[in-house]
Amino acid sequence: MQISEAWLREYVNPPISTQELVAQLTMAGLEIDATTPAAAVFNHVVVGQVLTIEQHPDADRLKVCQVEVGAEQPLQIVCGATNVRPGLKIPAALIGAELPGDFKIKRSKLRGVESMGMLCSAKELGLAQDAQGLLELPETAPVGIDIREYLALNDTLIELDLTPNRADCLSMEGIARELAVLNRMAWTPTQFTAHTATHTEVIAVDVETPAACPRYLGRLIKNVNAKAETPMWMQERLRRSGLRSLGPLIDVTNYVLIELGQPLHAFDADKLHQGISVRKAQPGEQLALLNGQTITLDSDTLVIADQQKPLALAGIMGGNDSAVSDETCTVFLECAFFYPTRNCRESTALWFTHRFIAPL
Amino acid sequence: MSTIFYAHFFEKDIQVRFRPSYFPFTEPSAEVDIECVMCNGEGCRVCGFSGWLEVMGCGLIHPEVFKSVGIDSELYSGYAFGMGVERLTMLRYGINDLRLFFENDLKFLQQFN
Repeated sequence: MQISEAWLREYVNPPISTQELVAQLTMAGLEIDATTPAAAVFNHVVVGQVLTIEQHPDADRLKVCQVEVGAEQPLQIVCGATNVRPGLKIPAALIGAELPGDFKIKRSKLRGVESMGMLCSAKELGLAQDAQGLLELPETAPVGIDIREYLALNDTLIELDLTPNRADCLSMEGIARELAVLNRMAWTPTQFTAHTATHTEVIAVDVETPAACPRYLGRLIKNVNAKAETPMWMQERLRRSGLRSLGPLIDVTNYVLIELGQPLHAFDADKLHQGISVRKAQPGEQLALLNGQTITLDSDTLVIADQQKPLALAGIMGGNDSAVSDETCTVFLECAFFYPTRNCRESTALWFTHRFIAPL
Repeated sequence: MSTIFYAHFFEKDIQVRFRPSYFPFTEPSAEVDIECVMCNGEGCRVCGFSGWLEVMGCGLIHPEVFKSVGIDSELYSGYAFGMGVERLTMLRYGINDLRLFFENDLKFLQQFN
């Protein structure tokens, strides 16, 4: 499990260095394998906004951009990225900037046109292994501020190697609780305000196997915008936890899992056929999983099903047919507790790794 | 005891630490780390920049284990230590591939007298 030190310190912030914190957690039984900086070393990169774009007179693929960087004058920067467009906010490396890979930005001419800096992708800043085009920043990003400050990049990623008896620490809150105890400090769990339903439609849930699934909660959420952009801060926290952003619906479920340790699953409610049931599979039933694999179930496997067929392996992995997509408008959000030993045995049989969490 | 053992084994004073851990068959459980012999605890690739090398798992035998072999855990307790002989040898002689030990190449084996 990988966590962001800065995020952890928002819960509890003991007056000790990163090294001391690592030593403390390790000696408490939460072994730390490695620590790495959240971003590669670079400087003089600020939030910029593209004002205008003109075609480069002598190069088809290059654009000549006027970029506002909070200085007296906008800068003229030549850029080859395909996603550059007027109004876009991006990281702009200024003259004198040092980027990862010992790359210094100098005043230069690109095919005869002067360029006073460089517009950057996530890869060029060492934030991603791969990137397509410039890193697009939210419209709310304040022009001119240092990108390290804006994205809070002065952070350390801590990689924990948790032993199987410490599933209580498989979340930010779990580790925060542990850290607070070690330092005899108070900590504040995430505060929630209950959001009351504004519609009366429900999806019936029938738990046929209460011993294997003592608690199953669901919520029908209508009119979601699956094409919305996940906020930058959430994308960054996911990235620092080792997860890619996969659209707002999946991102939210992953975020809550990392934050609280409670797995959630989002179904596309429009793809469900009537009510949900939690039941044992019928021998021979098939299920196409999210990882692309199709498996044949036996009568020991616990599934989430609708009236037609199994939709998901309970608490292990969702199915392809009911998965959320960019087109999803209505979500059925599952929050359940499945009895752990059952999951361990099935996960082993199905070659998934799985750990369990404490019931809410 | 393990400090003395590792000091003898590596023929130099070496930092040793017990770190709480978990094994299903011991309670409590610990792992033993030694100061990285490649970088003297400075942090290098071999130790994953942590300065420590994990060399042994250990603990007190779990009462359930005693129970299943008919030993009264109220009367007896036992230490369990598990040390990888090959791993230690690798560290001692700076050998970087475990498989060399099993290939029975005489030229390799005759170096150890």
